[in-house]
Amino acid sequence: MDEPQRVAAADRSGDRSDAVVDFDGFVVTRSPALMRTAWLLTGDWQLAEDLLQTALAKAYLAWHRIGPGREEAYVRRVLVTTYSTWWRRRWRGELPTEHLPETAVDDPDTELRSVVLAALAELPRRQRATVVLRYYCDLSEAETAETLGCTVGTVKSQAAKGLARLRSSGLAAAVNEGTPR
Amino acid sequence: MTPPTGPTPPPLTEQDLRRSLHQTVPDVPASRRRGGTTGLAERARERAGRIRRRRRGALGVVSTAALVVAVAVGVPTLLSDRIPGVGGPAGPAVSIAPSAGAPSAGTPEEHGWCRENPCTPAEVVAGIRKPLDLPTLAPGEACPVSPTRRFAAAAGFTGAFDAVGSGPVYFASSSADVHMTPAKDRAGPESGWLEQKVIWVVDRSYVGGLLLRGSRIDGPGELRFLHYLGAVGYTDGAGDGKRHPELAYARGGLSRAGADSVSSYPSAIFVDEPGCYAVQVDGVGFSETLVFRALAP
Repeated sequence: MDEPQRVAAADRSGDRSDAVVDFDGFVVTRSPALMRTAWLLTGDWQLAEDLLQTALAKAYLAWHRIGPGREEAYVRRVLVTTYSTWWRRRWRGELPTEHLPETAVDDPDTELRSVVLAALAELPRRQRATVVLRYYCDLSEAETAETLGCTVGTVKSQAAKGLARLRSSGLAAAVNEGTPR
Repeated sequence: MTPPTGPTPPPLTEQDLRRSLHQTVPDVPASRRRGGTTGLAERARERAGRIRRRRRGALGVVSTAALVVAVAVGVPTLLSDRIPGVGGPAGPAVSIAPSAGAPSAGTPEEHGWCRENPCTPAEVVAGIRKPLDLPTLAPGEACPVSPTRRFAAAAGFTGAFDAVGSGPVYFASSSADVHMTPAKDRAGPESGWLEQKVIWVVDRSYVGGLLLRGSRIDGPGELRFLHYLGAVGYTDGAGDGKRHPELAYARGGLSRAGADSVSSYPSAIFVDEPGCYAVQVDGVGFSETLVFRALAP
């Protein structure tokens, strides 16, 4: 019996222990990376955790249907889809003061982080998600299209628009400041 | 012409963007690792259980509610008003009688809700907010656009006009196909959003608060609103130019004295992609969904 059949059988029999172990193992190994992706999408750790929990909860309900090796792609897709349609939250594109990392005020990474988040916040959610998937998660255009549920052409268009928008923000200057050329 | 005062930074390349994103993202804070990743899995399973219970409960409630509403609203509506079908021509101009099911008339202070609650704008909005429940479409499913009806000239409209909705809230438009145009930021460059001016039209019989929220329903996509005259939080004299996820009105909107049958609120909507969109309008004692197609420029 292969893995999907084993998980499905465990679920149908009422004994979800194997499926739970599979899910827990996935969360242990992949949640930090997914949490960082969620943070780039939302700009706030509290929202990121909430978003990731929601995505994991939805994925858990379908866990027995997800093929082996497809778990992260599935959770990432649910994460991005939930983010795209998620507007109950009061998203202002700013880090609440209490969530600022405790680093030195003149830490260049902190300053760059603020500039990056501010620039990303100006993008519509779909563009923002495309930029994060392409340039942080390093997904190919085809993988990004599958995650977003759109065509490769749309991915190219959204990525180009997002990059153009980021170029017109202060991000270029902040990125190149101190970068030897 | 004044020469630039400093060197122009090189353009942002894809490599620059990749590097800055990877450089920017911090480690997950220790305060967010409470219970460890095992705790995260446990909380996700708990939330999954709540989702499962909510889905099962909603199915029963929606079925029962739909039957009750159909009986309560359907018969009086058929007798008193003719609402054209989707895409069909609007009927003759009609004077507005209070829509069947609309809350009773009166000033906000006289309204039943305000007799028991403070009527500050934020509290009105908090009092009418209901769980968001927008329809979702299966792939290939047709956009279930709202009907269009004709109104007699009123409340700023110089002649008879068409509006989309089932009442008591509508948006003025000749059909549910809304032709969007590229939105510009105040500085001039295109923002990546599509926009269209909208006038929200409200049965004059309803004068309570309104809360509007919307989203695309045939795929991922966002809808935002312009805050303009009468909107909660709006103070600028020329439209704040920002794109807000919610739009609220605490009192009756702009309207003319006399026999006008509707109130009207000028605004605008923004979407990031063409598609099928829904707007949920919450009010005192009702929640209505407006569905329309946002068409590409």
